[in-house]
Amino acid sequence: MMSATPLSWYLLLSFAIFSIGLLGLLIRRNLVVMLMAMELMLNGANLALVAYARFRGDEAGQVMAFFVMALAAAEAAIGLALVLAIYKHFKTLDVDRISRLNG
Amino acid sequence: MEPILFAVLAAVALVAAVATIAWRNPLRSAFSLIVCLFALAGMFVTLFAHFLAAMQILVYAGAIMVLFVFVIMLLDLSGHGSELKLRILPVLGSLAVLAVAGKFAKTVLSTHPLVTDVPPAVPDSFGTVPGVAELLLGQFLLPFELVSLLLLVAVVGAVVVARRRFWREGK
Amino acid sequence: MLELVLIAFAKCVFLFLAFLLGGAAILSWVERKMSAVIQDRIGPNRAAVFGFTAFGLFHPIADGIKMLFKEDFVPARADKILFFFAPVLSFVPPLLAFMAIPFGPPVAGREWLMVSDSQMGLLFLLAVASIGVYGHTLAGWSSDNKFSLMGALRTSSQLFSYEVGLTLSLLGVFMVYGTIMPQAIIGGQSELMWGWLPRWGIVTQPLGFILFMLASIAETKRAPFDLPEADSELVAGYSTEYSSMRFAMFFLSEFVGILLVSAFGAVLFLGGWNIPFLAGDAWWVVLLQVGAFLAKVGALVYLQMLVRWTVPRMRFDQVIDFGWKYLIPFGLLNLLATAVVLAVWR
Repeated sequence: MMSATPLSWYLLLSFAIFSIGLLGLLIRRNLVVMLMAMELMLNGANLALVAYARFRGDEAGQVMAFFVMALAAAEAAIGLALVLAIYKHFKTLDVDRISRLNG
Repeated sequence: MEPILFAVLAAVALVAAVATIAWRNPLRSAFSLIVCLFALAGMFVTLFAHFLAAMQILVYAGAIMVLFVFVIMLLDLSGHGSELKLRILPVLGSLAVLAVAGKFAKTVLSTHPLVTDVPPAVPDSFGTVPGVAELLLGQFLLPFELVSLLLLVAVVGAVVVARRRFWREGK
Repeated sequence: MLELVLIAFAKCVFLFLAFLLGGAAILSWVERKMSAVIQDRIGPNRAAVFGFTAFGLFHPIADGIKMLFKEDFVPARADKILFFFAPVLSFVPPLLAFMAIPFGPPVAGREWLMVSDSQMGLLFLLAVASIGVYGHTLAGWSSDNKFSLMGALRTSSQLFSYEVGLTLSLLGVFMVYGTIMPQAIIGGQSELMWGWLPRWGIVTQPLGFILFMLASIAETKRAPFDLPEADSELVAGYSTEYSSMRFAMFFLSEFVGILLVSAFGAVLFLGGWNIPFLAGDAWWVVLLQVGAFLAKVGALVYLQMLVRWTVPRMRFDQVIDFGWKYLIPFGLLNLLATAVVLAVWR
C-alpha cells in the first residue's frame, strides 16, 4: 500500500494540532489543562518529524520523535509534581491567582 | 484507501485536540487528549512508524496520561473547571496563533515541498524495532544515554518537589 | 483488499465468540467451583435444564440472562458520558490485545490462527493492555462515590506501578530470542538445548517467569493484589455503582484479562503452541498444537486461580512497596544477568 497522501497534508495537520495546543496554553488558566495543551504541541511536532522521516526514507526523524516522547515524560513528571506542590500551597490551580512571587 | 484513512484519523485528531482545550472539566480534557493520541498513533502506522506508534500508546497514553488522570482525580479538580475568561490577552493570543497558522498554511500550500511528495520505497524493517534500534543504539547513542539520565533526574526531582517537607522548609 | 478485510473480520468474530466469551463464561464457572472446593463447599449446582445440572455448568448462562434483565442504575450525580464509556473502555483493550496472540502455527504459509501479524509484534499487546487502566479509573471517578473513587485511585497507582515490573520481566525474553514478533519467539522456543531440553522461556528465563506471574496477577487486580475492589474495605471499589450489563462488562473484562495474561505467558514462557519433538504441517499436528496452546493457557489460568483463592490480601502500601522495591529491582537484575550471559555466550 503506497502512501498517496502528500506531505503537505501531514504538515498542515501537524501545524493545526500545534496551533490548537498553543491556543489552549494561551487561553486556559488551569495549570493541568495548560500542561495538556503543551503535550498537544509536542505531538504536533512529533507528527511533522514522523512525516518527514517517511517522506525522506530516513528513520532519524522517528528517533527524534522518540526523544521528544521521553522529554514529554520528564516534563509531565516534573510538571505534575509542581502542580501537586502548588495546589497544596495555594489551594488553587488558576494561574491568575498564583501570581504572588513571595510564596 | 490511504487518503481516506488519513482523513478519518485527521478529523478525529483535530476534533479531539479542540475538545482537549475546550472542555471545562479537566478529566474530560484528559480523555479527549487520549483520543487525539490514539488518532496520531494510527497515523504513525500509516507512516510506517510501527515502533513509534506502539510507544505513543505505551508511553503517552498508557503512562503519561495516567499520571495526568491520577493527579486530576487526586486533587478533585472536576469542580474547578477553569473558565475561558475572555480578556484582552487571550484574544490577542488567539489572533496571533491564527495569524502564524495562516502564514504557515500559505507557505506550505504555495511553495514546493522541501522533499519529494512521492514517498520513497522503504525496506520492510523501516520503523520497526530492529530498524529504529539500529539508529538509537548506534548513531544516536549519546543522546539516548543523555535522555535516560534526564529521565532519572526528572524522577528524582519530581519526588523532591512533590514532597510536602520541601515546601515547608523552603518558605 | 476486500478479501483480507473479510478474513480478518471472520477471525475476529471467531476469536471473540468462541474463545473469549466462551472462555470467560467457563472461567466464571471454574472460579466459583474452585473456590467452593478450596473452601470445602459444593459450589454452584442448582441451575438445570430438563433436570440436568451438568456440575453447574448452566450457571454462567443463567447469570448472563439475569444480568441482562436487571435494572440499569445510574447514580444521580454521576458524570453520565464517562459513566457510560467506562465499562466499554475496560472491556475493549484486553479484547484488542488478543489480536497479537498466535493460537497456532502458520497454516499453508498464512497466519490463519492469529488475527493480526503486525510489525509491532508483542509491543502492540503491551501498548493496548496498558490502556486498560482507564476503564476502571474512569468508572470509579464518574460514579461520584467515595468508595469508587478510592478504588479508582488504587487502580491507577497499582496498575501504573506493576506495568513497569511487567515490562521489565518481558525484556529478558525479548533479548534471549532477539525479537518481539510472537511467531519468531515461539520459533526460537521450539529449538532444543543440548538435544533434549526445549528452549522454552521458562527454562531460559526462570526468574523472568516468576516476575511475570507476580506482575500479571497484580495487573488483573486479583488477590493478593485485589485492593482496587477489596470488598471488605471498599464495598466493590470502582464497580460499586454499576449494575446490570455494565457490571457484567467489568466482570467479563476481568476474566478476559486473566485469559490474556495467561495466553501472553504461554506464548513467552511456555513455548506457545510448540510441542517438543513434534513438528510438521499435517492437519492433526496443527490441531494438536492448537490444543497444546489452549492447555498451556489453561494451566496458567489454574495457577492464577489457585493463588487467588489461597493467598490473603495484602495492605495497599505493601502492594506498592512490593512493586517498586522488589519487583522492579529484581526485573533490572534479571535484565542485567541476561545481558551478561548473552554477551559471554556469543
